Amino acid sequence: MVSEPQRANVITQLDAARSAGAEVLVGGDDGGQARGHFLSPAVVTGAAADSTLLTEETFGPVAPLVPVSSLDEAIALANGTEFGLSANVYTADLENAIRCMRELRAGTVWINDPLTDNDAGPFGGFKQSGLGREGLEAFQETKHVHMESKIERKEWWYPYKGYGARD
Amino acid sequence: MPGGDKYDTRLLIGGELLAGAGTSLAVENPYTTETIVTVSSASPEQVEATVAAAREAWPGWAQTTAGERCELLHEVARRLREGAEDLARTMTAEGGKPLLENRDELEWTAAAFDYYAEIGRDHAGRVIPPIEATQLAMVVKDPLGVVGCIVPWNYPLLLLAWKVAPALAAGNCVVCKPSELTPLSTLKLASAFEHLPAGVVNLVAGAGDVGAAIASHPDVDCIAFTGSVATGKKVAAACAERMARMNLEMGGKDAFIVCADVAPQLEVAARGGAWAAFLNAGQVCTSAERFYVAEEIFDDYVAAFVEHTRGLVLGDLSRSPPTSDRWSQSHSGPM
Repeated sequence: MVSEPQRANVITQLDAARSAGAEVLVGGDDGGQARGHFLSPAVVTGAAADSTLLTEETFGPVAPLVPVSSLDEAIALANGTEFGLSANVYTADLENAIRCMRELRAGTVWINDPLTDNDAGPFGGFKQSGLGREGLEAFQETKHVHMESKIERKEWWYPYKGYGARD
Repeated sequence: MPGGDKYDTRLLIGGELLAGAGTSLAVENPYTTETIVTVSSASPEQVEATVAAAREAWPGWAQTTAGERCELLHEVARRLREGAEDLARTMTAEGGKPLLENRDELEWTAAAFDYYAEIGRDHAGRVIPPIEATQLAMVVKDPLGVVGCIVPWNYPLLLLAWKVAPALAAGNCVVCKPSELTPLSTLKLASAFEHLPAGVVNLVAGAGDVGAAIASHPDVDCIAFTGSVATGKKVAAACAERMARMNLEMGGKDAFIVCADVAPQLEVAARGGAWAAFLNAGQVCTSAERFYVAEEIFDDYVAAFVEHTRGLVLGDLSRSPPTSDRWSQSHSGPM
């Protein structure tokens, strides 16, 4: 990982989840490396729903796996956060795919192809994950231009018809 | 683009390479945990000078045609590809991302400049129905002016390109500040922008104080920021004070859903999940951080995920695996 504070933050989340009953099935240590800020990829089950591992950004190599009884529950849990940058779905069922596409509150929804970027697609987040979308328009002001080819008086200018005055 | 192993620690301000006059930043190699080199930040006076240089360059840059900017941005992409190996190695040294992934990042970085080179000459607004037949009514797109680009350490050059390329294509000048953890790759970009008029692209180093000075500067018209939610909120507040435009890309807690119907291809979904969670050691803004897996397949999915994870190799970041060409032609990838 990039720095010791970043690594320490991930370990804090892992430890907290563990003391609340989570099981780290693999990883979560220095991977046997003699030097460097290594954290071996961790797979975790049984993390409490309110643990920081499931509620706050981790920014480290940890995969907490949670069983769900329905797609309704999965979508509700996925949306149950103040963030909304992206989401991934694996399904071959068209109905599931379209439901996820419509109902997930995230700036990018990847279906069966995680984290694939596209320059032509807008990138950005829902909710606290961001504001605006990257792309040409993010760096442009919008101006309305109205041009009349004939220079002439308009009949709706002053004086109003029927209110006297000359002409 | 000149390369070499030597790190250039100078800032690019108004077309000149200058030593920073602010506080010192020790840049650490996360693999060796040794200091690679010390970079001096931009001083408050240098931030002033940088914004002033961008402001001065802007009228001229805004007057260039979209066609001219197109050619100049393609040339940036060409220079990036020419210096790709040196830049990739620099990113591995300062950020700890494996060389293979940094080579990919360089290709995507160059591709972003090629993409916006063309997009920039394809969009200038639209014609709308006028009120009378003798009239012409339009929606015209103007550049904003000076754009401050503040980016993090996980994808230093790609995330910068996603801001700088469209900003330049639209006719803006930019002031760029990389993370204090990874300034070296960005400072090496000076030669990739050498063919542009002085002041159009400016590169400064510094920590949060330099970022705050840029974000609150009255002559910076827009802040494009990628980073944490906490810092993003501070940037938003600084911009709101003077109604500066802002584009904020912040963190997430991204979900990964695995439906029961995937059972026949569970191993693919497990490998995809591991990649989404562990790419760049999970230090990706879109890293998968919560997996919601249908209970019918949960145990099998966990088993496949764990087995695949056990096989992942940690270690020397600069090693070139024989499969390193695999993604080199790809114009798409992770962020």
